[in-house]
Amino acid sequence: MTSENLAVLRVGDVLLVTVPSDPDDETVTALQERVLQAMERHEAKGLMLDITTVETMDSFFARTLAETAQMVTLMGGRTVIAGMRASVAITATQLGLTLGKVRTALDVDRALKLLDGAHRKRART
Amino acid sequence: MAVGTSGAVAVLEKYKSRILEDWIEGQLRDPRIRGELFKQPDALQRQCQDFIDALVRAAVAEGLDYDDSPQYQEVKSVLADVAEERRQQGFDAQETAAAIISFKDHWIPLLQTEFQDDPGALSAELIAVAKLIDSLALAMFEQTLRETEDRARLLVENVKDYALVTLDSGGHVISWNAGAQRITGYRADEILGRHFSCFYSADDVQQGKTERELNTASTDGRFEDEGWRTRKDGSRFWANTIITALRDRKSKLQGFALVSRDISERKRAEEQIKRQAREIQELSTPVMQVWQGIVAAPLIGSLDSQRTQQFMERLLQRIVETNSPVALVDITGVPTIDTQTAQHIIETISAVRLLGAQVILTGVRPTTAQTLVHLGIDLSNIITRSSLAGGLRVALEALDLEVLSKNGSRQGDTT
Repeated sequence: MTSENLAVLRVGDVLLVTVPSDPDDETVTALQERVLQAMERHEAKGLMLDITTVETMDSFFARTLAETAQMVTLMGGRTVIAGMRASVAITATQLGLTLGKVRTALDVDRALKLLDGAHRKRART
Repeated sequence: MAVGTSGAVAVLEKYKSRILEDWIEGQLRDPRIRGELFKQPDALQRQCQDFIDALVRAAVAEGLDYDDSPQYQEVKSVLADVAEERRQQGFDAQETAAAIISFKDHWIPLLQTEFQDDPGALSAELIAVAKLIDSLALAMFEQTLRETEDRARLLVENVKDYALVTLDSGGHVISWNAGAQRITGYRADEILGRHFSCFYSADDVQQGKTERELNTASTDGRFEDEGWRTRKDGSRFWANTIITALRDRKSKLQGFALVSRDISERKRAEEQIKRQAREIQELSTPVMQVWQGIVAAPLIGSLDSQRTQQFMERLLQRIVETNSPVALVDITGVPTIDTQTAQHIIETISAVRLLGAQVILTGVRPTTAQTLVHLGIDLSNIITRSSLAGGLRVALEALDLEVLSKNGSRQGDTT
């Protein structure tokens, strides 16, 4: 997938980016640029990176994600990475890759709730 | 009776010590001489002395006529002893026969000197001596060969644990032993002449397995395999089989030696161990959903890297499947925590975090807590609790849930 196909969607005051399944270094760099530009343009409060389809994660990708999150924080937003596959998580851990202090969520739904700070419900037994 | 030879014996007696000395010296110069006989010429001396003494005794009595006379038998028996002794010292029958024949080289020159004035007598003596020595060497050679064959045959016939079978070049059974009978159930008279494919299932035969095995043995010299074979009664056994090509000196294929052993017991035991190991591994890492959004995984036993990998996979898989943001990992059942185990737990927790879920470590007993602190393992950024109940409370809180009794009061604070 080329960087041309990257879409940064705005949902309310949150930016939504779906990372392509096998991102190369160029795509990852372009992704960072696009996200930061969109943050500035929309004055978004949050960024969600959906990596559900990503099958492999290398050190460059992991580092860029962590750095992007830091940059977004500096611009006044919060970042949540959503939907990492179990196999990707295991490989990443074994390779010693970390995402720094970035928040993670199981899926897009939970990520949105995290960003909204509004996932409140009650259960009765 | 006694054609010539009386003169030869007289010469032998007259020059006995000199012939003996020359003969021993000659043998020691032979490059084939080795080991004990070379290091301890005494043994060689004794062997040669015994032989010559027997030869002289026999000759004196019978004029050295080599028929079935007791004296000739005595020489032969001495010779057989010598041959056996040398066999144990590592010489083959051919080498011993060569040594016997070399005796002529030391006896004949003396005959030639003694009888130089009587060519007629000389030639008679020479022929007699040559014939005698050659016949003794041949007798010795044959006997040794026969004994070797007998020993080999006894060995093969009596081995019960291995099937030792020879096949002709087409794969038909040409020899059979007790072990083969015990393992397969066929008696020799039932199996001789039959193709060895009768030990294989119809499927194997159809797929050309037997031919393939013989071809491999023929080209590589050897074929080894473990697999199912069929007994006479149709039952199966797991066999380890080695097929070796038998080739003569001109490397023409003469047939095959088939050595086979029934290792069904071992196979069964191995499979049982494998199955149990698999079961234990699966048993020891259950991951269950205890509430919507909460999974719990009790760890039992020590964690090595292989188990960690498996545990991690199962835990992450279940978290994704059940869409649970909280996982309780209970270490009550982990007997001792060492640096390695702690590292593995931390690794698992990092992986869970990448997914977007969090781990609450429960079952931290006093001894575990002490060990963790003494080892300097930092778990400060992981939520830990001493009991599973405590962990569950944290989990419910994280999900913004609480447990109420029927009258509406809060539950769980007192546990």
